Amino acid sequence: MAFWLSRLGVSLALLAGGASSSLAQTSDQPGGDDPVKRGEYVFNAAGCLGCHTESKDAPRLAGGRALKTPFGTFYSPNITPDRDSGIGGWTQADFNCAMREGKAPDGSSYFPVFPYTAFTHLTDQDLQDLKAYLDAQPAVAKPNRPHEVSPPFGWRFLLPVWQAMFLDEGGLPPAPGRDEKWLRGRYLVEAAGHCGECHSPRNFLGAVDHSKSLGGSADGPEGKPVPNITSDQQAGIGKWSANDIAFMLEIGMTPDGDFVGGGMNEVVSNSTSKLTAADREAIAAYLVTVPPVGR
Amino acid sequence: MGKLSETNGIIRSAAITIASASVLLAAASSFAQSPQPVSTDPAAVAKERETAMKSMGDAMKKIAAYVKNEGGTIEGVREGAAALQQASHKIVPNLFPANTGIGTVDGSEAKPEIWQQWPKFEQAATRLVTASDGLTTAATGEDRASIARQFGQVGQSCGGCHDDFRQKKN
Repeated sequence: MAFWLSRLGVSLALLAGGASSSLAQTSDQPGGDDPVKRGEYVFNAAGCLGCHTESKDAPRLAGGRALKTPFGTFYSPNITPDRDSGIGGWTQADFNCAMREGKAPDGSSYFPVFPYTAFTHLTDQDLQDLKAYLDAQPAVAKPNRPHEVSPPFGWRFLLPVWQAMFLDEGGLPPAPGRDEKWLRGRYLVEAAGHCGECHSPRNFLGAVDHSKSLGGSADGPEGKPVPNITSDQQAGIGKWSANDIAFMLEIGMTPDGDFVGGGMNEVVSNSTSKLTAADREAIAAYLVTVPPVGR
Repeated sequence: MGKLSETNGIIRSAAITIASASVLLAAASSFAQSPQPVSTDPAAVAKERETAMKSMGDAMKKIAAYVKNEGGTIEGVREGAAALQQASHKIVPNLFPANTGIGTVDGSEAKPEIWQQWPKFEQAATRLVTASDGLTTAATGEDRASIARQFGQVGQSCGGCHDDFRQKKN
């Protein structure tokens, strides 16, 4: 409850005209001087909790959540600092390699159900902070459950080929003429928030179709449709104001008074409601400029 | 003017207390009744359900306008809270009889999990009942922060239920 109040405090302050200036991509990260605090913010922005925790009652971040995809069922791994079943023995280089190149310390490739095609754009600073936060969490000994994926998609040795085709490493491309707020919004949507993982359609190899970025997907998580969030007036959310988007990200209410579900409520409570108001506004500022994708 | 509006205020808040008490009473008595689907026709049930959900959405819109300070009024909040409360009390006993969801009724968004996990659904619906009762109580005053807090509780119960039990058509 106090949590909601403080959130309201933020938004009311904002409505009263007290909006703080938007945050730069790497500096002034919420959390100040404490790497763990800053990392917690990145952790929330990237929504790690949902996929890496089996259920509401299961040990936090110990993995095991089933992610059903058209290619089979994947089980998320343990990312607690446990040395045997978690990622406790990892160096920063190991961590960055996993997040940016989709490779485990033993050199094997991760299935792209782990959204490294988005995380690859995360800044060095954010990756360092994120690791600091994860290292500070309680270790849980819980072995990973093998994925249930049918051939040929389950053939891990094919993954480097997939990665060569679809993984564009490095930062997000320059965007001349865009302001800091828009850049921050793009970073939160495309890199940290990995919104396109659910909201963009995929090709037959399971890679996000960037020509229809955020244009909705017929088979998102659990094989269920996920809405188009481009600026398309009919198929997308082109009729929403930036304020409508920011408010939805804060409490989950759409402009018609409905409340989002189908997994998005979880995203709101785990991730977007925990961002600063300025960051939610940055996301909105970016989303209203996403080119329309019709149906 | 001070005296008059003060008296007015007292009368008004008394009226509201009585009004909300009677709403509570009506709700309690509807609880006491045996569960009664609004109709034996699945399509009619689904339609009624949609109307009830829509009315709750409209109510939330009204309350949000007040909470966000975007032209909403306290009267709108009270109307909205009453509508929410009324609809919320119907969910479990009247609006979700078996065989009225996806696969049975064309265009329904009610997932089979509702009936497969009925106790969990009931719990989620009860959360809305509690939250909208709380909102009605908060709305007897004019403290924006406490109304906002209850509004947030209602919103969380809406979203929580939709996460597990609704599949949008798109």
